[in-house]
Amino acid sequence: MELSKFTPGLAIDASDSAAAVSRALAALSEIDLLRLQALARLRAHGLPDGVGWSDLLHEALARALDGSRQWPAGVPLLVFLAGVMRSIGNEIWRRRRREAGLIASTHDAECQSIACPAPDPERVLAAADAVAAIYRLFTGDQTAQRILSGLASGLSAEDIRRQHDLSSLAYDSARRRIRRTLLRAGLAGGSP
Amino acid sequence: MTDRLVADWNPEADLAALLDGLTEELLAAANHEIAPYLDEAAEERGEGADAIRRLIGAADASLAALPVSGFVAPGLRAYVSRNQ
Repeated sequence: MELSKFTPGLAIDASDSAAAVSRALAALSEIDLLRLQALARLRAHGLPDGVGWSDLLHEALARALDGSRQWPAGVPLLVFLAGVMRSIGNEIWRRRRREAGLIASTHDAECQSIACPAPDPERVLAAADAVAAIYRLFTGDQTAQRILSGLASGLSAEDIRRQHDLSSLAYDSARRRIRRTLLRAGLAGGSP
Repeated sequence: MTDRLVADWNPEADLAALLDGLTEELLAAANHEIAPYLDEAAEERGEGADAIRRLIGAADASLAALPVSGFVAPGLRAYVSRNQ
């Protein structure tokens, strides 16, 4: 992993963590800044309409910089920020659902009691659209789509290779194509 | 997704696992795999490394303007500000 070499010392409190994040952000190379953008574009898949990748990244940066999310010692900065964006994405949906529940409860007290257990249809639809959009990026590349399917099922690389009888060479080659496609789509004119 | 019945499909779980896997791919991408997009990102979208630096600056500046203690829901500043 060719991430920024900067790693924080032992973070004692939020201000230490925030200061370390600030220094590390300032030291990021252009390559890692683009990598961060690509991560934000990827992590924005499946978010509600109106929430873009820059909103997600801005929020993650703000939380890291104000110390409300502390940077664990030894974790590369971009790994940390990717994790923050992941949790913010989940939080946005939870918040929307909570707000929808509150709005429903003002009209019908019974709505609130039945609203929570069922899946959020809007989130399910957004997730389905996002998964389809990601697969579309790899139209015509059956090996890449098989790898995506394996990743979506939570399979390990070894399991994916075994399931589809892929050699190490074929698997690694497809992974490179996946990375290239993601980067091209995210950074140079695609939709993600 | 392709090998499973649609009836069994859980898009949320699939998306979460897929994004985790692809996040690892982006984190593992070698610098030389990203370098070709340095100029393209800036020229085609105006969203190159400088744009991310501006975003970092904006996040830093927004903290100075709006202390975190002033937020009712500190989690969603960008989202809230854009959607209210």
